[in-house]
Amino acid sequence: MIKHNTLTKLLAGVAAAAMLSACATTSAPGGDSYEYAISAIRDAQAVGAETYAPDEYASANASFTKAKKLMLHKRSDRAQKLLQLSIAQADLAKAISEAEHAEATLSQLQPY
Amino acid sequence: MVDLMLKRSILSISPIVIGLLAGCATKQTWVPELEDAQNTYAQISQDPIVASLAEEDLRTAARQLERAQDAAASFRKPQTVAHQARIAKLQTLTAQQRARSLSANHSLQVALGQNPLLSQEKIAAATIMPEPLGYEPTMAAGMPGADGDVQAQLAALSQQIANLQLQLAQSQGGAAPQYNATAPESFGEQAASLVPDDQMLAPLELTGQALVPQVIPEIEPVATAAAEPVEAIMHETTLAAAMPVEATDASLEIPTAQQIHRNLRAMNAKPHSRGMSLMLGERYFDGGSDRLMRQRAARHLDNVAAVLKQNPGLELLIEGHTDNRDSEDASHDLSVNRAISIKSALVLRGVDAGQIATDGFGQSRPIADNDTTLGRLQNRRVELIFPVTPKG
Repeated sequence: MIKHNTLTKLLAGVAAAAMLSACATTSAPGGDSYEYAISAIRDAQAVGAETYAPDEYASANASFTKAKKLMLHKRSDRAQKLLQLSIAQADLAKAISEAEHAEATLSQLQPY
Repeated sequence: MVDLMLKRSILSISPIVIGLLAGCATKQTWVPELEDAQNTYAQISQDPIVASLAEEDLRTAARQLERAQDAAASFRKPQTVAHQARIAKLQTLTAQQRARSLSANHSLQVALGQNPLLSQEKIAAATIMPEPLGYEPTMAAGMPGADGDVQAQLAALSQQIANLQLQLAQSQGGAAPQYNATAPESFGEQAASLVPDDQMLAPLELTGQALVPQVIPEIEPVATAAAEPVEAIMHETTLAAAMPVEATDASLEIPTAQQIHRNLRAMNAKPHSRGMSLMLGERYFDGGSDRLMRQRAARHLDNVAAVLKQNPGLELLIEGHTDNRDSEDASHDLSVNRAISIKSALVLRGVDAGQIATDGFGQSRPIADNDTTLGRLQNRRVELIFPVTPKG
């Protein structure tokens, strides 16, 4: 009897552990693209994209927001596409910002 | 009997099958985004600065463009093709911006006296100029439609050299030089007479002295309407700071056509159907107004002013353009005022106002789709066009 209870508890524990570990390893619905988009937008923001490339930065954020909504509605294909677009837009925003920043610094060294 | 019926059936069905197959073969629909991406890539990848400094980014864009083309060739949904193409275009523009960033950072390092960011090889690759060459009529004649344009541009450049030499001679000795022992009555005729018949490699001789042979550089092919510039975010600059226009005294040095061409290229001016074109984007103006952002525009205006002052025979046409967000009248006014702002800034830098003409076209000449943010950004621009035709 005791043995049976122990076995039941053990099985319950294993099941719970399995469920928890499954939860822990489940990636975001958008997968790598989701994480990458967040990272790309953060990178763009870090180099001043809100100031230097406001249109591109806003587009990247808008695409990302739409992708998140679509993921909630389980439309992962469309969400994936928007995440890819968001990454490309954020990369462009970052590149523009870096160039703008470098040129602005340069022009300060060469005052007119 | 059965065989006959079968044959008839096959014969009657075969046109339908062939029709269906033909239908499949021509099913590939036109996707404007793909064409846009292809044009953008074709244009930007030809820029030696981008090709050299952002090689890896450009390769990524090329791979993405291939994906888009493959999707189109595999009859994928137009939305899918458009999506792939959009990303390809964004990646191409990113490559362009990376090159711009690298060149600016390189200039910054140099200005700060630190080790240059870019190797000499990279810089050399990024500043490849057309090799000077002797004119070979057979080559130009081999290009349909190009011969007349090339000849006209060569003649214009030669005349420009003649004008400048004339000015130099006048500033140095006073007496107007003569060419081939004839005395032209007007300045224009005199300049025209200085253009030798073969136009190219023969020395330009003044009375009593022979000048160094003037080698005319290869002329850029005249851009077709389809190849009109589409980028706007970044036309403004790349290696302009890394390769500042030489501040030489016009009275001491004869600027050759090659130098003029090189200076314009150093400012990232592109071949245009009417000469060489340099674009200043929206970012040089204070949001939606005609107020010039002086700090941002300073370097470009300095370079343009230097070239104009160094070459008094050179003319500049400034054209303003807008997107279609405002009314036509407001757009037109803004485009005119922006062109005038640029002219004023150049005149303040000592350029003769007579060298500069301005015009505004409002929203009537878009170069990109006004329905997209990026397209509108491209359309809000001021074009600086050097017709490469001497005055007078």
